[in-house]
Amino acid sequence: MKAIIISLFAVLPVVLTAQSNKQKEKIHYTSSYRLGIIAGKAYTTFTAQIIQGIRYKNFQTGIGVSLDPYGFRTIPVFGHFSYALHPEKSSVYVYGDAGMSIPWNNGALPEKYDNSTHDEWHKLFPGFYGEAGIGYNMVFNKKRNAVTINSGYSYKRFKYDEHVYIWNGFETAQQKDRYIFDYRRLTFRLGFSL
Amino acid sequence: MKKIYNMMQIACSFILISILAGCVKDTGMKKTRIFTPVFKTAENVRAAIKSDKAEDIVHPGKIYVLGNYIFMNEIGRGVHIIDNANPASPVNKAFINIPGNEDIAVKGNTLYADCFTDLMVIDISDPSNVLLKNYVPGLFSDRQYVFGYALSEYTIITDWIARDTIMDIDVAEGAGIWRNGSFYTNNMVMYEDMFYSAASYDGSKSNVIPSPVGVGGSMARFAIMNEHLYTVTTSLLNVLNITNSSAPQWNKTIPLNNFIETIYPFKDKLFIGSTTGVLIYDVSNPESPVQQGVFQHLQNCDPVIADDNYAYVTLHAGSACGENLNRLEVLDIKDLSQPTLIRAYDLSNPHGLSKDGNILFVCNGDDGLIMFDATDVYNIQRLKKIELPETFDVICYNKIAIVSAKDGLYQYDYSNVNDVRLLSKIIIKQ
Repeated sequence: MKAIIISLFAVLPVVLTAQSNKQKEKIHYTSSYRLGIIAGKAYTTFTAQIIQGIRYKNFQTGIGVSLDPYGFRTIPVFGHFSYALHPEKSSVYVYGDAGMSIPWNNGALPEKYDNSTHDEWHKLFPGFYGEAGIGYNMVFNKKRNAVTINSGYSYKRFKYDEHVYIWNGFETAQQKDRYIFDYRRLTFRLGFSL
Repeated sequence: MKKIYNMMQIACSFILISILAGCVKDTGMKKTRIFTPVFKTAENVRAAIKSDKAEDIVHPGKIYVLGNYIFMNEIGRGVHIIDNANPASPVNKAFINIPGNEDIAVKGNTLYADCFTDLMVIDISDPSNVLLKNYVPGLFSDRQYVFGYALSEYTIITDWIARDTIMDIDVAEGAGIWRNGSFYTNNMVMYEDMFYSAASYDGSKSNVIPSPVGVGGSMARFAIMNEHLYTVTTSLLNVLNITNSSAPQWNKTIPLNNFIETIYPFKDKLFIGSTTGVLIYDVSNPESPVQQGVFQHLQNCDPVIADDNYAYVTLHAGSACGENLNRLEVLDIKDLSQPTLIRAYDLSNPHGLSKDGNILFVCNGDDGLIMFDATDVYNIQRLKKIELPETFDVICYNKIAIVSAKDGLYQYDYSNVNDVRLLSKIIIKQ
């Protein structure tokens, strides 16, 4: 599922850019590709992001997908909104993202019960994802293609149920524990938009 | 002017980021159910050890058979007394409330039962009116801590109260995940903050020792041999003289360097099952057991029984048992100083076992109870499988196989191995 989402976003820009070239309206298709880092309290890790959307005057909106390995690996899928101070030239912009962060299990949390080992098993849930920040577009041609840098404050929630067998003093009983984690990080990204 | 304006934009960006940096943090919480103990004074607990009205069997533990009675441990709570004068129609007669009880043994009219760290000595000559005669304090020192709580000489946990709660979890380490109360990082460092333990299955036993000593199971941790009671903890072998059955004398404790699980008496030998092998102790001098041999295997759970020439060990994979092996091993013990593996037979999930003559019974978990012809130990033949859910204990007694399974305690008449008949079933409350 995660691979399909990422693949879709990778192919989409080719189609959309081709369409946008045919049009002279003020609404333009746009796509952004960024690599960067996520810096949290505990450590720093990398991130990658693709956003597809439309641009109208100072505004840009679209949907995006990214890779977020911080804490527990997830694939955030989100709606994107940004406002550029001077859309026709290099300038600062502000942006906001909101959506769901979908867990991408690497096997660290087994999702099936193993009868031979009696290990715990887990059910993973999507959690809220949000980010807000500012960036700078360095426009390098008339099509407003630009190199972009941005930085923001990122939040994601990750939660899962853990089914365990515990000894409660008298008997072994199955119990469901719910874990909820909130990660608040800073992000720094460098990329380009077409 | 334009450059100054751009510079200001960038400066404002960094100021904003700096402010946000103070908000960077990771938090975690866990919604769980915790259990808090109900303490009673040891004096009150001992005063309450008597025959109460029969209770439903909910979490069956170890079984002991003597004469017309079956004694069945209710894990952590006490002992059921079942009148088995007519195996076709057993009657649940009474329940003895013994908090923390996991193991039992019977000699004549005396029931020995653990109560957390102490050994209770109970007169059962009248099962409907049992009487606590004596107790041996501190015999099971490894059970001083229960679920993270410490017991004292004067207080005993009699119940647990469940409460849903939310607790904060430290996620400062960041690059890792929480699983089962522990934090795993990429370097496999683990921080344990909660205590979990797997259930202990109970056991079966062989049919060799005559009355007035009862018959226990291959997973028993108590063994009576003539005038002595031997008990094992995870790392100790205790020797008690029970010549005066109501006044045990705790004379000796022998340290064992393995994770001990079971003890099985045969003639003047004790076969002690550990997670890493079988220890053989000579008890020619019953007061001073001496290690005579050891057979080591991969780390596994391993109940063991024996006869004159061979020992039979079942290895099963499980939560605390290490390797993922499931098989029956036959050891040659003619030379007790050098037990050797003759042959291993693969099974799906073997637990307790019992042997009567050449007939070997093995509880094979979800695969029911399996009867083998063990006439030729090099070529043990499967005779019959009895379909039962999650079998874990069997005792052969007077040509009756008493089988403990998930949904009940079954009794089978195997006097004719070609026509094994179900005599009765006591239902375990689900």
